[in-house]
Amino acid sequence: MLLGGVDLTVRAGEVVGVAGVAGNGQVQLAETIAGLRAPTHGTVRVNGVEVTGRGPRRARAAGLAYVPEDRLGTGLAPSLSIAENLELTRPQGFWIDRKRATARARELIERFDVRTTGPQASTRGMSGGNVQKVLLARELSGDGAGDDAAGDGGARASALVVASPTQGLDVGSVEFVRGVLSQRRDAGCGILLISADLDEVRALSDRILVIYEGRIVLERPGASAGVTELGLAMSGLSGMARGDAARTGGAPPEAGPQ
Amino acid sequence: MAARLERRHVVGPWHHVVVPLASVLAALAVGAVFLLLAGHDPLLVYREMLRAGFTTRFGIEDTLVSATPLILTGLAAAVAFRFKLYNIGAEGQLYLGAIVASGIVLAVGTRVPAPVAVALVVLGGAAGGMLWMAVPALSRAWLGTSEIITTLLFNYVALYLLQYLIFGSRSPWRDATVTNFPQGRRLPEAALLPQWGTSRISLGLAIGVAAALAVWVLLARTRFGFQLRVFGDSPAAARYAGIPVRRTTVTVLLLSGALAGLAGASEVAGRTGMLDPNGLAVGFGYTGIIVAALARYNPVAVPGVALLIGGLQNAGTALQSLPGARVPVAISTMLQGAILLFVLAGELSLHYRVRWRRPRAAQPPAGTGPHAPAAAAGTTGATGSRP
Repeated sequence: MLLGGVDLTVRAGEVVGVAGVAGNGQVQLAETIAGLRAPTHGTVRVNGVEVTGRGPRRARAAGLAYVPEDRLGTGLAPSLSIAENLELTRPQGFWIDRKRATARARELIERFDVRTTGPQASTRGMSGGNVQKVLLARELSGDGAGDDAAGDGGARASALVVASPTQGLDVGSVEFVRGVLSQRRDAGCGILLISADLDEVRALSDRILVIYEGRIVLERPGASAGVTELGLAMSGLSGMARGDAARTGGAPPEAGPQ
Repeated sequence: MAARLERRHVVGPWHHVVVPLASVLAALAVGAVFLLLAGHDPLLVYREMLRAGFTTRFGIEDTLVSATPLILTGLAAAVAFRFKLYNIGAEGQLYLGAIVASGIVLAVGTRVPAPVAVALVVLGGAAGGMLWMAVPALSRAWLGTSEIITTLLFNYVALYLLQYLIFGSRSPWRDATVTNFPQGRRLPEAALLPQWGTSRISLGLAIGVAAALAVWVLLARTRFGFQLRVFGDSPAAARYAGIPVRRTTVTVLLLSGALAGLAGASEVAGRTGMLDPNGLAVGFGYTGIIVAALARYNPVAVPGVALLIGGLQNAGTALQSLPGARVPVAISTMLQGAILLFVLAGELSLHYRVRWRRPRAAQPPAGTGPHAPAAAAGTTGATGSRP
């Protein structure tokens, strides 16, 4: 799926929901913002810093965190321990400080209520909820007791891209994850929530966009968006809502950019 | 009844010790069957092998000498295979390590003091191995060429190059004063690796053990090793974390090539003393793959396993002279093969278990849910397609 003419801004303290049926360009959108894909044209800015196609580390350095839909396999390396996975996206020196990593893991396991035998447990075989908690713990940490002013690069992310954050989770974990996201929004974090779960998008978002065939076809304030209108837009049946993006028929969607 | 392999989520720590040991015992049991069929007493043969390979002074010395290149080629395989990069080319990289190391010291001659000459041998060996790995590594990283094929084919090119330098040309490696059977020129005395007392055990053994420790520290304690483990476990996670996948691929393969090249340097300057195709082309590179597999790609386990395999090879040779019972030398090769097969099977049982289940009359279709109607709001479980 090729993205086209996507122009979106997420402000601090705002949750922007991107609703759409899976496969309409959500992965490409998230990865382009996260620096994993270079767009053919256009720019991506995080906190005013241009990071377009400069790789995920640049985007992170600018304050972006990304929770991918594929948690175990992309977000986390399955054979590695929880402690190691919690270090995955953190800048490191030449040597690995295992003691420090373990201590940090203990603290995050506690704070994010991860049910596990300990920091050295492998992430493979954990429940979806626990996997997501580990992932969120890493992407949202940088604050708190364990991460003091050591200058280890663990600055708190101020912009967050989350894809299908509660898909396949148990009720308790869904509650927890949504709570964490709301909390971060209230703390001033700008969140782009990409999800195929319309209820979730409506429950969490301040503003809702609908993505269809790589284009944003509808934009509504969160409160006033009706299920029917959103559902129709998701299925490509109401291009009329935003005239410029209206597109029926025409060329078939092209293959992905990479 | 149908069998299904299920992944074990928890592997107990005792598994890691019991499974390899049981594998070796099972291989010995299979070997015993063949020995019995051939009319030999297995216990007698095994006792003799143990004696010849591991208990007499000469036996231990020979075992250590044989183990030296196997430690380095074993490390070469372990370091690559562990991250799913299959360098089958340690054999060729070993030859090139030997060619470059000997070439440098033959060119320099007696102009440099011994420590410098030895350092040149070591660096030359590593450089030769890396050189031979460069094309497979770069083409794997940028063109997606299978390194299994390229490294394997490069072995043959390296072998012919080696033979050409001694048998087919008047190269500087060949001893021009010998007129009957072509042989390599002797390396200057200063360039030969120092040997332990009166034994034939050279500095190469210490280099091998030091390399094993260095590789372990690199993998377990450094950021680079951490990135490698992520890369080996999940390329998608590596990309996500911003680990440079191509650079990592090339680095791992070059490291592997350098270790195999070191084995060549250690052989040429520690054992043969000259570039000798017949002494070098005895399959150390391929045996290194067995060593690495038995060591479960763990660098610190490599020296111990190399010792076991080295002893087994020596014992096989010694068996031929066992009075009264001409045990064929092939028995040690067969045992090596059997051990490898059992260890690989054991490895599978370490991570998977077999589940027996009766086939049901009507199986529910696999994977329910992901094809929700296009307009359905609130679909869950839809993973979507990736480009």
